Amino acid sequence: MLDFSILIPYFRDFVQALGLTLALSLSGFAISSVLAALLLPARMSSVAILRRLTWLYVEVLRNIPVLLVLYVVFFALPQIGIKTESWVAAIVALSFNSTAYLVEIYRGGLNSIPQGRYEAAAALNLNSFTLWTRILLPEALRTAYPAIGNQLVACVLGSSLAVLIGAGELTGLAYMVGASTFRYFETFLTVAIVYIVIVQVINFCWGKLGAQIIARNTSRRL
Amino acid sequence: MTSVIDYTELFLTAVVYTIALSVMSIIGGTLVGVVFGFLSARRLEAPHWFRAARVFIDIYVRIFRSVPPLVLMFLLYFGVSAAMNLSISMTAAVVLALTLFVGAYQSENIRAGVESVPRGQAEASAALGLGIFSRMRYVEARPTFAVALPSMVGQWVVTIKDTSLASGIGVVEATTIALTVRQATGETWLVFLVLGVTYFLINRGVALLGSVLEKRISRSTSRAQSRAALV
Repeated sequence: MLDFSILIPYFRDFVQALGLTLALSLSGFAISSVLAALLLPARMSSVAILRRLTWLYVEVLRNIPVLLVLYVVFFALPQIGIKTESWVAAIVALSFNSTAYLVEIYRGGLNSIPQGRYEAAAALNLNSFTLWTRILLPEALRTAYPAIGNQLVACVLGSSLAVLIGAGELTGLAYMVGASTFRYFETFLTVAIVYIVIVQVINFCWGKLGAQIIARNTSRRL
Repeated sequence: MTSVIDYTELFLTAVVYTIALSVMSIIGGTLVGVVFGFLSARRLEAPHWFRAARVFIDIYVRIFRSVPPLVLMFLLYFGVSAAMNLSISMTAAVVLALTLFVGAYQSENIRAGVESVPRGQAEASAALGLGIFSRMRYVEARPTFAVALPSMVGQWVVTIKDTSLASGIGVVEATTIALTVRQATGETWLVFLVLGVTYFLINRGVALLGSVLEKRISRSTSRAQSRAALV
């Protein structure tokens, strides 16, 4: 018989693990959004070597499992003297992986801007600062916005891999509680529901935030 | 300490297993995606029961896009057998988990493809008296796959990468064996390099296959269109 009451003594642990899951995924996402923004000029640069190197980074990171990136950070880097805690390794691996996707998402957003915008800006004699801050970035952001949200969700799901290097986030805790109570079904089902709730909340907030950003941009321009 | 070379055969067997897991999960995820995507697309002139199907499929997509595939594997492998006294093999747990997870994404891809078919075609199909299933097959299928194929191939690559999670429940696939060899030889960098190159090559191969499929489908679509123009 199913008995969820065995989870009650672990309530505080679950709240802590939830905090760790959120910390891992949100910091992974935040770091990768910045890294991707820094790599983007190189990815779109007219200097061939910069473009090729960033292309290589993106291709490699998008074609190997995050789990392998995680193992490299956690098991291989210590051999060259870079030793990390498991939670740090998880954030680093998530960031590396997510950066590759975000660079391409940002690039897709910029590429979707029609050529006419640049010509119109030139005709209006806009300087490049105004062109970027008032025209290009808002428009690219609007196109890329849903995909960036999906990447945030991917970071939440990806943080679950940290269990495999022994971090005590949600999945790790569920594994431990399951092993000590033999109530695997109840614990993993509960944790699955927690993930579903987290992702729904993120999707909802991301949608609200996006509606606000777009409304502000439009009203300022009118 | 043994040498990495000694493990070549073991590793190759494991790579074959990774490929087998991938093929099964890709087939599963694509099937779920095609069926659910075609049933749940919003379109004109569709039978009423499609609305009920859409409600169900929306819930499925929402749920399974939000659960980490690793948690699904744990739930199916450890959970189901513990709670229901029903033993489920590791392979089945992995393939089922990936099918459910990737199927949710694929059905969104296909749905977007079906919804990109111009509404005039729905009206034309109704005027011709085509039933909904003949319409799917003869009107919607081509343009749907022409639109959805690139993102479908993207999900195939995701599926292959996610088979590495099977190491979490102990399936003997490439990542598991790589960890074993690492333990036995201590050659961490070399082993991970080989593993990375393996995944990279498999995924590039799939991407290449995808672009061949894309070319074929766009060619056959344009041929069908020019034939239609002649008639």
